[in-house]
Amino acid sequence: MIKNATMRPPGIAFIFVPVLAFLVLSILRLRSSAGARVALAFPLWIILGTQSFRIVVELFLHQLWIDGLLPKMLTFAGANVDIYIGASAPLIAWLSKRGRLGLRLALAWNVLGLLSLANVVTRAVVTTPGPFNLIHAEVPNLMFGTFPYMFIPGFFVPLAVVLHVMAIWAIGSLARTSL
Amino acid sequence: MIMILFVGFVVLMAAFVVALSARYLNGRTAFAIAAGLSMWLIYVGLVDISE
Repeated sequence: MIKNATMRPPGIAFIFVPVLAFLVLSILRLRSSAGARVALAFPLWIILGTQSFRIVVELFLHQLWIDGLLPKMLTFAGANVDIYIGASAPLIAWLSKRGRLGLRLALAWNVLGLLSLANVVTRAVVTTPGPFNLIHAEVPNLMFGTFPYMFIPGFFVPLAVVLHVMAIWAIGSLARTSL
Repeated sequence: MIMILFVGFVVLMAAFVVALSARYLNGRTAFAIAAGLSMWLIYVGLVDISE
């Protein structure tokens, strides 16, 4: 179903639409007081440090490129800078406990992390066979529809986004209370 | 082999999320996260496998 690029809507919509709906609802929910309580329940350094899982995801993406399932641009050897966000996560988690400057750095790092995700998600969509295939790379992005790699857009990307949004919300609250 | 490693990593991260939720959130919210995440992961797996 996911592999079928001629379907309308395309097969990847079965994952992308619920993920987008979940992210929009999560962001709206986090803006409420109940959502804020959830974000603030976790220590900030844990939210930030958890982003280091992206190193492992990048290593898997690199292996998929070697196997011919992904264009090079979706890996750290190409135009995907996500591994630097994952690699710097423990440092940022440590810095976030070092006062206001650390919190400001963590805030900037979270914005960079979201931009990095937007970069790789956009590249993944425009290299996938289907109606949005705007870039014809050396090989198409065949990750969508190759079990079990649908868990990257279906689990790891939303997890990274939610962690970033929770961190931004928690940093905002911490900055307000320390004024 | 790489597929098995990847599925193992998905399970590990899902377990980590559930464990963190159980540690820092109340029981009802943690249960909702665990149930929702399990159902979602099964859905993604089934959609991915289906032809």
